[in-house]
Order: sequence, then C-alpha cells, then structure tokens
Amino acid sequence: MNDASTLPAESPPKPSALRKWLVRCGVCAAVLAAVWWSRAGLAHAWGDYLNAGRPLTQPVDVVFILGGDLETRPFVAAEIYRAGFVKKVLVSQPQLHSNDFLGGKTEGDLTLEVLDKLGVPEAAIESLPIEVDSTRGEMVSLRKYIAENNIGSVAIVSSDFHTRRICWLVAQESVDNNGQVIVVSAPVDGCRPHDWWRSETGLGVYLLETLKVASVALHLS
Amino acid sequence: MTLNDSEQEKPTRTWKSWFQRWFAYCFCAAVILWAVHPWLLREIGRQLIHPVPAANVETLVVLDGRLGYERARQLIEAGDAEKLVLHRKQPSRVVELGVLPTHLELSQAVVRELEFPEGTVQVWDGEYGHIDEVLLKAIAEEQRNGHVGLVVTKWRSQLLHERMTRLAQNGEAVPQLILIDDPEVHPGNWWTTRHGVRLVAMNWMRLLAFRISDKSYKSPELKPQDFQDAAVAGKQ
Repeated sequence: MNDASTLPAESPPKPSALRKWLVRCGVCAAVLAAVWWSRAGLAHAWGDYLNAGRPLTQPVDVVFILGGDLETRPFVAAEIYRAGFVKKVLVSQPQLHSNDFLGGKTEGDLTLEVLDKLGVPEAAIESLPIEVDSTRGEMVSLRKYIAENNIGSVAIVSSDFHTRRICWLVAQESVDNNGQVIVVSAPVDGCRPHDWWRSETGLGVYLLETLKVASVALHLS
Repeated sequence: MTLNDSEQEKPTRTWKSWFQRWFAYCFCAAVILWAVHPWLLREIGRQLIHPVPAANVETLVVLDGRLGYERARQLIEAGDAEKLVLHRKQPSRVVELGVLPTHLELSQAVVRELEFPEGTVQVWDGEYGHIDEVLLKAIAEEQRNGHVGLVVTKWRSQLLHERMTRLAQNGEAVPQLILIDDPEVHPGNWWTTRHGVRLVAMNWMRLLAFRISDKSYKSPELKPQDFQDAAVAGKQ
C-alpha cells in the first residue's frame, strides 16, 4: 500500500515526457495544417511583399532599366519617357553571359533597339557598363553613375518580383543617399504577384527569387 | 550552501546544461554536414540529370541553343543521326517589334554557320507556343516514325523526362534525350562557381515548380495598358 502510494513521486516522469512530445507533435501538426489551409493567403502576401515597386507620381532625372527581362522592362521605361516623366533612360550593359541565342547581340544592345522602336530618341538613351553581371553589380555601377553625374532622382525599372531585392540592395550598397531612388515594378509574362503560386512559371520564378532574397539578406551574394 | 542558494542556482544550471547539449548537437551536425557536403551537393546536382544510354536516332530536335546545334552537327557527321528538324516558336513581343529575328530564323542562321550537310535539315509545320507543344509533336513523331532524339543540356534533362512522361498517354514511348554538357558547370563541383550555383538553383526551382504546380492554370496575358499602368500613377 505504502509502496504504491510512493511510486508516482519516485519514478522518473516517463508519461509526462511522452505527453510533452505528443503536445509538441500536435502543435507542429496544427501549425502545418494552418499553413496549408491558408497557403493561398500566405503566397499572396509573399507576392505582395516582394513587389515593392510603385508607379511614378512625379518626374525623375533618370530611369535605369535593369538587365534580365527584355520583354517587359524596356516597355515600362518607354512608357515613363512617353509620359514626360523623364528625359534620360539608362540601360544596363551586363557582361556577355546571356546572349547565347540573341542573334549575336548583347541584351543591352537589344534593349537600346527596343527603346528606339518604342519612340525613345537615341539622344535620350545612355548605356551603363556593368562590371559584375548581377543585380548587386548593377547597383554598384548606378551608385558611381549618380556620384559622377550629380543625379538628383532615379527610377529603377525591374520585374515586380525582383523589386524587394532591389530595395535591399539599394540600402546595402548605399545607392540612395538623398532618398531619391524610386523602384518601379514591371509586370511579368506568365505570373503576377497575386497568382504566382498557381502557375508553373510563377512558382519557378518566385521560388528562385525567394532563394535570392535570402542570399541578399544573408549577404551571400 | 543553504537550501535557498541551491534553489536559486537550479535554473542557471538547467539553462547551462540545455545550452551545452544543444551546442554539442549543433557542433556535431555542422561537422557531419561539412564532412558530407561534397557528396550531398553532388547528389543534389545529379537529381537534375536524367541518365540516358547512348543510342542512334533518326530525327534530332534541338531544345537548347547553339551548343545543341553543334552537338547535332557532330551526331549527323558521325552517322549517329540522319536529320535535324527545326520548329517555329510563337513570336514574343520583342520579335513582333522587329528587334529580334524569329526563333526559326535564328536556328537557320546557326545551321548555315555550322554548315550542316545538304538535305539533313527540315522544318516542322505549325507554330509552338509552349515547350509542351514541342514535346507533344516529338512524341507523336516518335510514334509515327520512331527514333526521335531531343538535344538538351543535361541540367534540365530530368525536368524534360518528367514532362514527357506526363504528356505521353498510355505509356507511349517517349523520344530519346541526348545530353549536352555546360562547359562552365561540372556535376562534380557545380557549387564552386557562381554560374553553377545559379544554374542548379534555377533548374531545381523549375523542377519543383513543375512537380507541384496546377498544370491547368494560365495567368492572363499582358496588354499594353499593363505597362502604362505600371509606369506612371493615374495615367489613362
């Protein structure tokens, strides 16, 4: 009788450890279920978060088109020019890495041609050589350009999913000393910030961008 | 030491032992990870490559740029393939603007430059908007005549294999993949170069996207108004 009454106090708390693990597993399962249940909302929120660019509300001195999407970014820059919001369009001239099947031309050359076709005069376009073929390399070159040419305000045009990373790189590379750098989002073919998780193109693009955002946050690239 | 003292020290000791235990776990995990990371990264890269035995084919379709055409030229010259077929892609915005030649014109220019033997190059009828349409045509061709080879970079071969397997109905035979190397990226050490990391990350995300995406959904196409709306606020 005595033995039985002392047993719970003396024995190691095995049932309670088991209970603890069961509670932990239950909490994990509940969190996973909640994430799965609200996946569309979370994905929508992530798409909105990555899309940090906005249309221009006032004129700027220069519009800078980042390399990477010939099919959309120059079109937005040309619209800014046509709206009379800028007089100078700056084109990124990255190294010859992505011109495998562009008819022997660089992406920068083709961007100049697209702008020409869209009615931006040659005198209003300038090429900016990029030493390192990356978004960070483009920001470094832009910082030098701003300093050398005494530029007041700049609009950076890039794909919508890319704009959050640009904002971080603008801060990391001290591009925006006067608070006059504005990021403009160009829409993307095949996916939008509010439906990216539904299409194969969107998933591929946003998953890769998530990795890149993480690498910029950790200063790995 | 009084009872009160020992009671006060107890939480500190618990926190200390918890920290020591987790530090030991993390340290061991880091050491193991460091020891196996070359093997692990190699395996991550290898998952993207679909192993295919070498075989003779009759018709070649190039899906990956200039290197693919160079490989096709070698195969035809060596007698391992008979002909190359080119295809038309739906023109993109920049092609419609007249800045870039069409995909067919670019392919024909490379073919001329590489001096393919006369009579070995043909053009498929029709226009293909998505890679799936090209693959469906290649599968149909495989059923009709057999021995179709798709020339692709090895890093996207697993994705193309899975895509073809999904497209092929009732276990139809699928075209043979002919893999080409990326001269800048080696499967044994892809993580040592920036280009290698980019390539593997991009192809892994594409493979993952293919596996988990809703195949029926199509985002609406962009219109000129979308560019105007994105450029300047309030402009109609």
